[in-house]
Amino acid sequence: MRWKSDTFKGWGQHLSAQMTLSRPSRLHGLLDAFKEQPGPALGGLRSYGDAALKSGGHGHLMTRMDRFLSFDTETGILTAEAGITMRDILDVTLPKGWGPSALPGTGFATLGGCIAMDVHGKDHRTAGNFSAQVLSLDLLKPDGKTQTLSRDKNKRLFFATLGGLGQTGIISQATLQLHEATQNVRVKKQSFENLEEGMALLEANDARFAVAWIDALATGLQLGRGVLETSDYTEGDPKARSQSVKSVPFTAPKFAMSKWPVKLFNRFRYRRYLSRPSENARFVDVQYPLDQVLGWNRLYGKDGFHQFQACFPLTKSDAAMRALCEKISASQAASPLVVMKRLGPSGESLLGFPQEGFTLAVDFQHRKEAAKLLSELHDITRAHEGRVYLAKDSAAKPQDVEIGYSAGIAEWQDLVLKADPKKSMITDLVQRLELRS
Amino acid sequence: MTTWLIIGVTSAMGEAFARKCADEGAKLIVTARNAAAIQHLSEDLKIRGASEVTTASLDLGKPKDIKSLTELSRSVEGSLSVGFFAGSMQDQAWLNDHPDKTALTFKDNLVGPAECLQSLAPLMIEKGEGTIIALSSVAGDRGRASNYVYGSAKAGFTAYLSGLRNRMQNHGIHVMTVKPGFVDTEMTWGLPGLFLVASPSDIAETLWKAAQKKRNTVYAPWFWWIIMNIIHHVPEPIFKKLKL
Repeated sequence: MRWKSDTFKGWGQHLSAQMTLSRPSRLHGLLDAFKEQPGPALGGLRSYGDAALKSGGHGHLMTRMDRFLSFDTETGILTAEAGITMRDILDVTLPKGWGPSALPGTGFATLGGCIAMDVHGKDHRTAGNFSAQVLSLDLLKPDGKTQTLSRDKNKRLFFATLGGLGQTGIISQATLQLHEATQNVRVKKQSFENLEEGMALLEANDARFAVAWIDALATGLQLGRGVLETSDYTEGDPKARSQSVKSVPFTAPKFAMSKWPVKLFNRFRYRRYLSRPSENARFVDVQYPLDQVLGWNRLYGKDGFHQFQACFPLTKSDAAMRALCEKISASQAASPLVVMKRLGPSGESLLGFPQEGFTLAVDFQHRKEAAKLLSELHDITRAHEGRVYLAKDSAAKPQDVEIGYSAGIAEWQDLVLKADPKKSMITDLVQRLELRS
Repeated sequence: MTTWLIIGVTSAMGEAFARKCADEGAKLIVTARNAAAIQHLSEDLKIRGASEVTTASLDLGKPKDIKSLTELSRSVEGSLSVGFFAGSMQDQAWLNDHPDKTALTFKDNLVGPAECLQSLAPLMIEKGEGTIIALSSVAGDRGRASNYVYGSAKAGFTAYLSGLRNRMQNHGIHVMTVKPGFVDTEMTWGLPGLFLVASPSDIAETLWKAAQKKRNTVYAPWFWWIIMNIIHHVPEPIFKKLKL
């Protein structure tokens, strides 16, 4: 097996690690490499922080294990190798009337990564966590043995592996129950003047997909103003052609994400958004607006950026959203990408992120002030019993995740210790947040 | 509809090109040394859109295998096109230490491939249409100390393909020689000193388009044409002193 030693970065470009990776193309190659050097799996490297990194360690890049193993177009049951991307799955299944739910904001995320982070999408309230559609998976455990896990077989380990940050072993393949879907969606947009109005609109929404974009620079009475975007599957064809993919050829200068360009962008976006309040569009274009710009993470400059996302119990959501928005707008440091969603109930995974209530996600360019602001956002999160999204985190401290994950973490730690007593699967994120101790 | 025969589908480029054919809804015959090992690959290609996938065992060192593949190809209805991706690359330093293994490089990259294409040529002529895309290498453009055994086998294969193109063009068959630069495969993963590394799927896309345009020789990515032209034109007294 060939190994590659290099510096690998999280998607936010801020955290990096010197790692030695294998990149097997076939299962026997993975087994050999894993036997030689057990270590965690890496996928599309779309986690913002250090969730997939292991400083000075070995890992296994799964992107070349990306084959469909079976797909039943009658039942919508799909089995694939873990390195396949969501985009590849959609390309094949949508024309046949099926789609995965709970898709994250990039189509370059892999199946294994989506399961290990137990991601969610704009359809969380109707579809639940990504893991809800996982019928079974094959787990290559640190002892070198492969085990099939499902709700019927090895159920506890299954729930520790879903959203388990790769700590129980490497997911080599998984089987999903897809839902009936179409290639196009009917998109509706509606503006709101402030945070309360935005939350009320999300609360009342009954479309399958819903997301609110917030202008994080607005203050005072306009605090939290933005646009609600909802969509549902439709058989209707889009009028507009989809945009061609562009790429960011170089790392942008730091000022590109400073206050005034962002203000201008938000104003422009607001206008353009509302110029077509209702239209049909291709599902993938609506689902993955950022994938139209390859390497958009370079726009934040060479020091990279952080993404903060937390979710709150319904009873705490009003106060938490207001406190977060006030803090963010006062700092005037946010990027245009501020996103609010209404989540449905928690899933089955022991370390799952979503809980019934509201969630807010925001990017910050890495600057001196960013660390202070992030720590203040974490204070607010703790005070309102929120959970920090581990797939995105790059700045939390152990005490910031203690309360949010208290429900399942003890059982998870037991199961992980049993599966990986030598701690060979540990990642920088798990180490930083002391999740296994 | 044309059937694509993909020889060497377990190579990263072979698989990527097979996926491209599947995307286009083609019928496929895919080969590897051991057909049993590519069953899951054939399933993948079907799911990706191939209208039919047949697997076949082909060891280019076994005349029997070449014969049965030729028979299988003869039974194909409609026209046949060939994507030839089989080959192997032995480390030059290792070959320097094992002179008796020199033949292995020539068998895998010249003798076997030429025997196979010689065997397929008559039936393609019978069918009267089709394309042959075959992988040679920029390494064959000029021998360099760092991999001249492999390079000389590929130089031979390049000459073979140019002759085959000459022979087949009167029969409606187009032969395209492909010279890839560095490609991001299992063989090159982690190798030091590589630059401008291309992904197999990008190469597959390039080959598909180039074949539609009936290009004769394709450097992939295209800028390798410039690089190899420079290398080709360095005068020998200077060239022999270079470390390449």
